[in-house]
Amino acid sequence: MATSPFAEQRATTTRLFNFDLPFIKKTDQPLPEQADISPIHRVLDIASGSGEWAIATAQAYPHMQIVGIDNDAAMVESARAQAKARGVDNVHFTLMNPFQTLDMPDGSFDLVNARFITGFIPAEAWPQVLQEFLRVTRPGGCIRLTEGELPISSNPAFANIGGMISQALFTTGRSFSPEGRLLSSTPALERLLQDAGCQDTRQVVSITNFSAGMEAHADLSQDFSRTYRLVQPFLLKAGVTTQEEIEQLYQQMQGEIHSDDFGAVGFYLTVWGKKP
Amino acid sequence: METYDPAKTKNWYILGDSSTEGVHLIEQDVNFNTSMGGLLPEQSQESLSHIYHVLDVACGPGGWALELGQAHAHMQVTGIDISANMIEYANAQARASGLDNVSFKVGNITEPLDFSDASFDLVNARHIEEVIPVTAFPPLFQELFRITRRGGIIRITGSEWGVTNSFAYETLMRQLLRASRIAGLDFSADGRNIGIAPWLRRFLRDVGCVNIQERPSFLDFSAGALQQSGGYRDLTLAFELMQPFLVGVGVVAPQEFEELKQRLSVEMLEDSFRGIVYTLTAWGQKP
Repeated sequence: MATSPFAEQRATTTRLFNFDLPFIKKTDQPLPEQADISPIHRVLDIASGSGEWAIATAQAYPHMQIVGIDNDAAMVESARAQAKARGVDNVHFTLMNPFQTLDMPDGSFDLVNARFITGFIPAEAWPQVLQEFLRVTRPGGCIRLTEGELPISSNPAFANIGGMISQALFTTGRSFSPEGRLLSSTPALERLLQDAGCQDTRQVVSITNFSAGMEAHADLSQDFSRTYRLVQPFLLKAGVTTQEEIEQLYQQMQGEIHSDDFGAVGFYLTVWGKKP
Repeated sequence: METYDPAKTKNWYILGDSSTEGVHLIEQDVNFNTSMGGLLPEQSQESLSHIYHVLDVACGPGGWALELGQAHAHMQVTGIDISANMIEYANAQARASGLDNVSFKVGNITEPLDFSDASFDLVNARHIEEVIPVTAFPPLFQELFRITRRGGIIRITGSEWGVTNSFAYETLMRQLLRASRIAGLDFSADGRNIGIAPWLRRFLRDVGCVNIQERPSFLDFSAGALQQSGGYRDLTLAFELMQPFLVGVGVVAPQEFEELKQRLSVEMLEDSFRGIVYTLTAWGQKP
């Protein structure tokens, strides 16, 4: 069920966006919207990748036990090494496909967290995947989803690669857009949680401005340079660009993101709901 | 049919300035004031108590200025707009509500503003990306800076319109973005967004503002969401009014537009309809 646009690179959990990481780095608040974190002890992080979110959360909230799952063995190893290097012992990484039946008992977690997973699974697989997230959540526990739309940029090559990703995700049935302009994931989330059976759903919007001169610029420009390189085989396979065109655009984008007039803002939406 | 000719009329209202557009803008004011969590939700009570003179540029029918004057009796609120129709309506509203601290006058924000230096504690501009060309922004910000007192606030709000799961909505948005580009109203680098969001902070910084901050908000007009009916009225009216603009600049044929509009009103009322508008407010201080 779950092949990612990045599968060809074996970096199967390279997510499109990490808009939330600069804020977490700055404030040490990985769950800023949760009014009361004291009842949250066991947290599952879906597609934990290199472990940034899980490790930051474990560090910020020592009373929690964080479990990160990912189906890429190299990523799991790297996340474990990161946690060890930083001396964080309340986080654990397990090799497991996060989008199939989870090898975990019912009601194991107080919070299941999935960030920026658009692209990892077909749009039509979301209901089934959320059912499984809900199964491993305890009654009264919470599912928390964070997704972004394409970054809005004043620079054409950076914006155009985003547009190609949007088009390719539409073509391959991985976005919620009816025609590929944007991803349309963010407006879909609340209803998906409600249809899965969640109650008291809430939404909160955030932005990260990673224009030249902003604090988030260094981390996110590096992140996008990596992601927009790794996504190229997927774009070629989806037929939205040619090798020559994408190489030229990527070069131009590198120039743009390191120039003084680079302008980019990412809107992202966090939606959460309770398991009854 | 009406035509869109800003060069002749000096009026960039892409929806015209008819009374129907007035109704649309009133609806839009109510929706945005609600979704943004108030009129000046980012300002503390302490900061509000030091704000006496407020200007709202491109105020349309005056919804924001009227509400602000009503909520804060100590403020003197002025609104300017290029449309005499809008100003007449707004002044009538102020009189009808007995608000003598709110007034409106006709003014063109693409020309030097008829106010002395340092006249205002707060200058507010909402959704002006819909009414003035991109090239008019830098000189406008110079003017806003000039008429703001030292320590005063310049505040700008821009919207990326909507992202939805409706085929008709997304198709009309693409046409609107193409037409905006032709008309010179387009900030977008790729035709997929309005593209105003990354510019707000930059405009403030470039004129010399300090302590610049940003605050996002969103308006959920999905089926079943609180703002579904307001969003439906606002957007169906907006697309209705957009016809002369879209057809006039030639991005869509009248017949195709008619079909998309019909399809839009069906899709937006379906139980599966999902849609969110993202908005960003940026504000900074004149040092």
